[in-house]
Amino acid sequence: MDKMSQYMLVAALIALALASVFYVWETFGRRTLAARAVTAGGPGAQVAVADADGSGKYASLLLWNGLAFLTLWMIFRAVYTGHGPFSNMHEFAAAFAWGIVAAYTYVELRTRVRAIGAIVVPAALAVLWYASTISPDARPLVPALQNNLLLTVHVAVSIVAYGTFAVSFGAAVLYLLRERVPAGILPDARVLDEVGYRSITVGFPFMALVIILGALWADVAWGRYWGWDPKETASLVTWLIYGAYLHARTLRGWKGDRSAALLVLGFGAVLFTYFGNLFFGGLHSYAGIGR
Amino acid sequence: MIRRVWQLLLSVRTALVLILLLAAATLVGTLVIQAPAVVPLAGPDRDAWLDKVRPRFGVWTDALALIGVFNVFRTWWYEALLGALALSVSACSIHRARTLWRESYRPHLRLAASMFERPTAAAATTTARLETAVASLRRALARRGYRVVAVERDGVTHVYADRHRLARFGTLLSHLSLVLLLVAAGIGTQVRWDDDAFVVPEGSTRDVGLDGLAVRADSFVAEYYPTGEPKDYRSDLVLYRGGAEVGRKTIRVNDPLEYDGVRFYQSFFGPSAQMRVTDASGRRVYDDGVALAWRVDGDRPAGSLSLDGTGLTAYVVAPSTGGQGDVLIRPGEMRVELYRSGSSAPLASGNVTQGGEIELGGLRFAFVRERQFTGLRVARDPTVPLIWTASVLFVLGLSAVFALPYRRLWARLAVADAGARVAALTVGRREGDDEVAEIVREAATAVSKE
Ligand code: HEM
Repeated sequence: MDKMSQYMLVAALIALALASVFYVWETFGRRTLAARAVTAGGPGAQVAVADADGSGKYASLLLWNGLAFLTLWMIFRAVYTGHGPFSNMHEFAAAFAWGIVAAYTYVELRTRVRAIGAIVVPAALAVLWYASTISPDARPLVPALQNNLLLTVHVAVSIVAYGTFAVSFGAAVLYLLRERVPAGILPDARVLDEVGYRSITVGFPFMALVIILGALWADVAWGRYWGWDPKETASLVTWLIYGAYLHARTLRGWKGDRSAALLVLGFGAVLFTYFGNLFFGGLHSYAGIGR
Repeated sequence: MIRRVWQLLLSVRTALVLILLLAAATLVGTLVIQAPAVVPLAGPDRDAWLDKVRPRFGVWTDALALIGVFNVFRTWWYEALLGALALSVSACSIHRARTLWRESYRPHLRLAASMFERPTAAAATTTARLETAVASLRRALARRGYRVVAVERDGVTHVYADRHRLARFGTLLSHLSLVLLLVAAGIGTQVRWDDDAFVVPEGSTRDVGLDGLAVRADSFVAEYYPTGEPKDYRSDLVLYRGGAEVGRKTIRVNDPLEYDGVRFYQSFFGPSAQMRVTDASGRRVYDDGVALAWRVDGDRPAGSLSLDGTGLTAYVVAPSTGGQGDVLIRPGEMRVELYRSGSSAPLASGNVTQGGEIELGGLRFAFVRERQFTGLRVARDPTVPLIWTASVLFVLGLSAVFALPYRRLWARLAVADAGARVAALTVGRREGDDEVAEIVREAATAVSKE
């Protein structure tokens, strides 16, 4: 099982690496070249923007493969360790990559917009690459982590939240880029804004749940639901930034670029919270990051 | 003045500023090392702690300490931010409640004709009669789950329709539950009782200092994996109130003992010494465990026992746990030091082996056996159920708003040259225009097919 899960991880890495190349090429390569040709008025240029040479389809196919391999990784890993992916940074990071890929796949199927993948898929690849550099040693769980149900739900919910946050990040980056690239490459600003917002309508309540479940667990394990532990306060910062976004989006002067900037900032906070174990000690630095 | 403050509290812009300020302050408290809660905000312990971080912050240390950077979450300004947020959320909620109520139960049924000329409105003409057009619009709306109200005025049919109007109160519910959460947490800090370091040696009974409760620890067990990593910590506890047993449980790290709102959590552990002390007449002055829960010079676990009616205090010190042996106290031995209570000069001291005895200051000290103590956290916080209630309501309210988006639509149907004209529009910050256009189109085409 251990071997199998390692193979799956490598397969997922390869699939996502190839998918990244195709996604980036599709948006910033082929479409950009085609759009330039349009501006230059070359013959058939109009057709080139609209008509894919298939790179988009390959991008999606590779992405689905990546998702399948990551899902298998999770199953094999869970069978091998006997619990969910929460005992060390390796498992955390790979599960995070799964969340990003799953959330993005869903959005792509719903919206049929591939451009966001040019940001999100490389981000997922980076996270998975990071996971692969950390020792996957399955170490036994220390007593505080031996509450499987609460912990599994806590981590599962956080993977959903962080996955949707990654998608909103991708949409926001493109939103901010939309005036710096030739017209016709990126989806409509309205679509990008909508994808960013919709992701947060899922991510924000889920993030609230993450914090609440964490508090519940702290209450059961340590007798206090909130202790201003750095991991707790970092997730609070993340949640507050997205809360700010939800209000900003309704305000004149904050709609649009500034709201998108908040989404980018929010994802920065997500990364900080997720990988925070590396920087801060405290109760959450339980299982360590291996060697 | 009061009006101005009220207006300020109501503004979503204020909400945004407050939330961003709170995020920034919380970030500072996350990035900068915070003094532990046990270090008071002033006094010698505080100065000692500051001296520990001084090398890192240099000349800035005192200035940073003054503005509370090392204890962000205990500063007046952090509390003020939370308070302002609670006030602002309450004000918004009160204010919004009226609007929500009016819009849900007393909606404007008609809009001025000019509104339907705006670019955001959708319109279509059909050859069908007006009544047929109204009927098919109603069908198109009903299929999508809209509630529909139609009124006729001067030959024009005005249609008002909305969807998920109840879910919209979710915003109100989640904001109010946030207030409940903040208030409950605030009250909690005032009324909560806790003891982070309640220590009971195996075989001993100790008073909790709350509600006449006392705890006896029958045993403590620490289990390890073959790799040496901890696997399980558990204590067999018996709880007494006024001398009568009221509870009994084997507690573990994630499984506390609860009685009448007081919870006992497994927290830490360490060595203890079972001691028996007799005076010259043979009277037992002490016969109980001594938890060696402190550390003294050279990483030696130590604890104290006060000797009834003698005015003396004895310290029991175990061999150093710091790596390379202990020249002063050998394994299997305890060192006993006798002091007059309140004085710092020892009267007498000596080592005693397990099962042996030693005489100090006219008292015989028997070291019966080495055992362990269990370290418990005892907590009572009656506001915790309120916190969970508020949390659940917050998530429920928010999920309702987001999963069931509220939508309103007005339509105006009038007789036109060859039939009827259907025009409709929606207002709101969320995208709904596509759907409105679709509904109008559907109403118009359904009609023309007839
Ligand atoms: C940490 C504190 C807060 C959180 C987590 C929070 C959360 C939210 C969320 C998630 C929404 C979006 C719900 C929706 O779209 O209907 C929202 C909307 C709203 N919030 Fe807050 N809120 C907070 C503080 C405040 C404060 C202080 C105010 C008042 C000044 C306020 C006023 C509003 C209003 C009026 C809306 C509706 C915006 C609109 O529909 O135009 N909120 N809030």
